[in-house]
Amino acid sequence: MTHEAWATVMVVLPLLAAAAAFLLGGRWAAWAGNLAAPVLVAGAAVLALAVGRGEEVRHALGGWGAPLGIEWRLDGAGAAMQLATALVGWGVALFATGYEPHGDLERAPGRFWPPFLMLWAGLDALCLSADVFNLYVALELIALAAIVLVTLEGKAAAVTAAMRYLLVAQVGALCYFVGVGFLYGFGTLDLTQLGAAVRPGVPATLALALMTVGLMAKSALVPLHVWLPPAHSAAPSPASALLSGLVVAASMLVLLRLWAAVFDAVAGEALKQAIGALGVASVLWGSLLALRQERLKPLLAYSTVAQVGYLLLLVPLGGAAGAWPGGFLLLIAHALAKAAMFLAAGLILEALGDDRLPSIHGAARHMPMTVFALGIGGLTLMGLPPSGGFLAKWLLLGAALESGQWWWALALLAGGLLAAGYVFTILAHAFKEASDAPFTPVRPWMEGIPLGLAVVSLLMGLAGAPLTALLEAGAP
Amino acid sequence: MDTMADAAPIFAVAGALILVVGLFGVFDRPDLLGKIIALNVAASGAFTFLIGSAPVDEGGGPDPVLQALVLTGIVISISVTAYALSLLRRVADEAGRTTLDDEPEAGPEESPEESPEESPEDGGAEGIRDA
Repeated sequence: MTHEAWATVMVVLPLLAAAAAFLLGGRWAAWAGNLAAPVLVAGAAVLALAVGRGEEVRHALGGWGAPLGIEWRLDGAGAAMQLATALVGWGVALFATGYEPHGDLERAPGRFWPPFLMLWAGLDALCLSADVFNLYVALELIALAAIVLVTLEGKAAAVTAAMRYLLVAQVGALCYFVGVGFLYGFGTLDLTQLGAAVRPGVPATLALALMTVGLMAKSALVPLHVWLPPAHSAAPSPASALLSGLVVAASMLVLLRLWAAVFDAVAGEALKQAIGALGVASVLWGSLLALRQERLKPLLAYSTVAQVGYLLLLVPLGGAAGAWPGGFLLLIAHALAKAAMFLAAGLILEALGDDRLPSIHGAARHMPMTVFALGIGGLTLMGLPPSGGFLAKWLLLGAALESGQWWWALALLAGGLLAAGYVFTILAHAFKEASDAPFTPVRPWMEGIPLGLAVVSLLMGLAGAPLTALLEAGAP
Repeated sequence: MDTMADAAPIFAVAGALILVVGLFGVFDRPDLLGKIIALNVAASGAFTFLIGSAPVDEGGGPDPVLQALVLTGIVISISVTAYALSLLRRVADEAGRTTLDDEPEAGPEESPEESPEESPEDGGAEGIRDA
């Protein structure tokens, strides 16, 4: 199959599967997802290998290329994100098949699959998009699917969190949309062409401000983060894994692409430093709040706020060697690790009936594989070798020192220490003995899924050379 | 066509003002229905602004690409509004209120149909209160 055909499959297949899951419903919906998932993993791998070899993967939809038509173009970062999406998506598909539904999901089984597959299609479309308007459409598809995933348990906390998420996401999307209008004043929507056409001035500055704020709200960066922890904790665990691992990463991918291609030339140094400082604020504030949580899922959600903050460092670090691959390595390593940890949290909820930290005492004895997955995922969050998080932070540290901005290196180290704090909080509770806690056994193969995802995020550090080469393909 | 080109800046300025008023409403209105309507007002403002500020081609006609963008934006806005309204009904049913107040009200939270389901399995959805 040609690369163009694979690119089309990556978007059309999950859409078809979503429609099939919706029409079939019930137990059959899981079949649609589980049949599509391995194909999408294969497709993502084929495309990533092609991009890594330096081949061009582009596809003009309907034969109409840029600037008038829609052109898909896959760069290294998009290919890596698509691969991470596929791996997390496959893990979630398998996990969701065995997951015992609660709330609304219990009354109407199969409801998880249509929004899940719709989300997958949106994420793949986002990775392939090369113009600012297609990115907007993909972001909207992702946001709507994500909001539906938050509501699935159907309880008051879930629907209220989803409503807040919807309002924030739509205000963010509207800001982005108006920014697209300003950028179109330069005569094109294509990212590469915009990079050549954009001139500093009022329209470019307004576009920068609107699009950056809009995407920061969608990515839950401090101070626009308050919607995320309730939404990600109220969602069913397989959905939380998708939301924290992939959805937040998607809007960050758009933000970083825009900055690299267009805004880097427009913004002054002081503004870049200020945005980097907001990233550090996210790292510190998210980590501190994670340390104060008394429940496992909100703790993991606040940790997402912290981890996303690191990516804003790419704005001030800009073109420094290692910054771009380091940032995206962090993005995908975090996606895999956080998905693994939320799935593990789901298993703990199912086995012990509660995710309050004192209630997970004894988890290490009852379900060692799951706690092991939490620990390995935690290694990536802390940035310890040989995890992907370590390699990513190493590259970012190198970029910070090389460009003479040593203060960002301090933020990276402080964030790692704080992450160690909240990861050890989880493990300390999980390893405490609790003899009288009621325990429902979970299926061992389901314990293997978070462990598998966590191990991939751990081993990414060992596959550093090919991954960095892939991420540098088409990098600015 | 001249008259339309002359009127364009008026549309752009009016659109920008409507956008700002709408965004203010989203943050200012306490009730969710008000917020959703304000979001629509803001979106209408954004669309008017974009059409009004569109570059005019050589024949003096409107720019087709920007029209297509706004049309797509309108479609998305309608879908989101429809979904937001149905979600609002769920919030009213489940939480017993139509606001986003963080503090759950004591009364409706303990409604009879909720109480029997107060089992530990609800952990994920229950009691999520920010630190």
